[in-house]
Amino acid sequence: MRPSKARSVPGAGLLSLSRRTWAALAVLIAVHVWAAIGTEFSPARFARLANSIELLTRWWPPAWELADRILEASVVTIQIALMGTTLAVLFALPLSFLAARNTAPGRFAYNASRTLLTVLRGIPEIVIALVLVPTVGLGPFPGVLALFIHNLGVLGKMVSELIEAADRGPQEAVLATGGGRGHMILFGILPQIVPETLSQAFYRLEVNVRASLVLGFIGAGGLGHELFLSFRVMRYAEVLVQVAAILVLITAVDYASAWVRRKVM
Amino acid sequence: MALLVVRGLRVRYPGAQEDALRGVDLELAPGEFVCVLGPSGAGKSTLIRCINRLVEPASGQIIWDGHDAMRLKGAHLLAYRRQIGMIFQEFHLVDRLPVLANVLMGRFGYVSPWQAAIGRYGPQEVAWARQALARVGLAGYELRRARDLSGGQRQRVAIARALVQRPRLMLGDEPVSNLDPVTARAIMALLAEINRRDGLTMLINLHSVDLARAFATRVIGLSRGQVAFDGPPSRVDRSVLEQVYGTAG
Ligand SMILES: Nc1ncnc2c1ncn2[C@@H]1O[C@H](COP(=O)(O)OP(=O)(O)O)[C@@H](O)[C@H]1O
Ligand SMILES: [Mg+2]
Repeated sequence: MRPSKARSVPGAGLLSLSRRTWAALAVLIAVHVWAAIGTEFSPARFARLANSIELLTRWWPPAWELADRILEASVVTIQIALMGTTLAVLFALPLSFLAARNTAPGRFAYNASRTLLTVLRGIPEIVIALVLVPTVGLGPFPGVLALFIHNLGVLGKMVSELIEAADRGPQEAVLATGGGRGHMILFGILPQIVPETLSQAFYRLEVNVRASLVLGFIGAGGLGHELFLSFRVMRYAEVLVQVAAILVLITAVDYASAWVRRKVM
Repeated sequence: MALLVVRGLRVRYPGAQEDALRGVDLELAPGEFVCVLGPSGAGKSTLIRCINRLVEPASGQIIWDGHDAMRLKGAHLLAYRRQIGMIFQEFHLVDRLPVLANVLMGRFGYVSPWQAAIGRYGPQEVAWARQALARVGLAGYELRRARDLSGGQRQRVAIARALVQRPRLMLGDEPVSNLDPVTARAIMALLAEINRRDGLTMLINLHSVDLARAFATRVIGLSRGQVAFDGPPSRVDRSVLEQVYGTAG
């Protein structure tokens, strides 16, 4: 039988945290109160929920007659993401061997390529696209370039970390045969990093489909562009179909990418 | 003349408190089958890696076939390494590639990385690879993926890879420690057969005293970075083992 006067024993439950943990928790709560004030967080405003519902009712009935056009736009969205991702992978692979401590040909190449990757990663796609539009014009192409450049930074860093973490054993085996640096990279390292690199590339494809929707807002074409146009002229029946298409698209890409990633690992 | 002479070899790893090797002397005559015994951390792997210059010693001499091997650089270093085969505890094959591609890695000293990448080898090299596979009992396995083989078969592929280097010395870093006892004995028997028939000199680290006694023509006991015993397997007795492994066991 359970003793009747059970009470929390110090050091017994999940909450037996150290003084430092409690202090960290207090700081964390304070930071969030501060952020809530800054973002005008106010559940009371939900009193006007009817306004949103009224908006949504104006979306109905969906403009299904636009399905063809939206399908075409979805294809463009996927094409933008695909081109941007693949270019990034192709250029990231060689660059990351310069940016990995164990394969860099020298300190200068290492530092220069690390810095380059950090800068590329730090610039948001939308900024790159805006800067490139005067040069290459509007349309999907600046979108592709923007995804390529940003993702080169993201994937380059990731692949160079895979190179640094690669098992030394196979590399030693190549050197022991009398093979040089090139043999070591191609046979001792590359086969080890390919599966994880592919897996990350498909994850980036997923991320880039979303990103190319946003790029559509600034004229990169595709589904994002269509959504932006319909919203601006308040054709909500079209918006509804476009949002449905986005949901389907993203879900499909997520599944496809998860499937491929399982296969390559 | 000795094939390999090692004198006063000292190694200190970056950041380590003590030397991993503290003045090792060793001479290998052609055709010997030498097994190196010693507890974990004694410096067995370090010694082997110094010989083919995967680890740089702080001081000491390595004389290969009468020539100084310590100062070799660039192409000369690669040419030196390709005369020495090496097998490992974890095999270190490229698991996703077929057996043949793995065996032909032994020709890396002779083909450019790009040729290797597109699988461009001479007919003589391919013939050697097939012979080596037959030699280790894997004829017909050329196109099987390395990862689909058992541990013993993978070590056989690694031995074939070393053989197509046409080496004059074979180094082994505990090549049978990852195998079951029966397979381990079979692999040691294969190495012994290659040693007898081709006269290929062997320097093999082991953690099994029984296998060393059964196959070696000479045993070296390493203890805390120094040679504590060097003699024929028949002289490896209780007192020698105590000296090498310490009295704790
Ligand atoms: N890469 C390394 N960095 C630092 N210390 C090492 C390294 N490799 C081995 N050592 C140390 O050198 C000593 C000898 O190691 P090792 O040659 O691997 O011995 P064994 O193969 O006999 O077990 C050990 O003390 C080990 O911890
Ligand atoms: Mg070892």
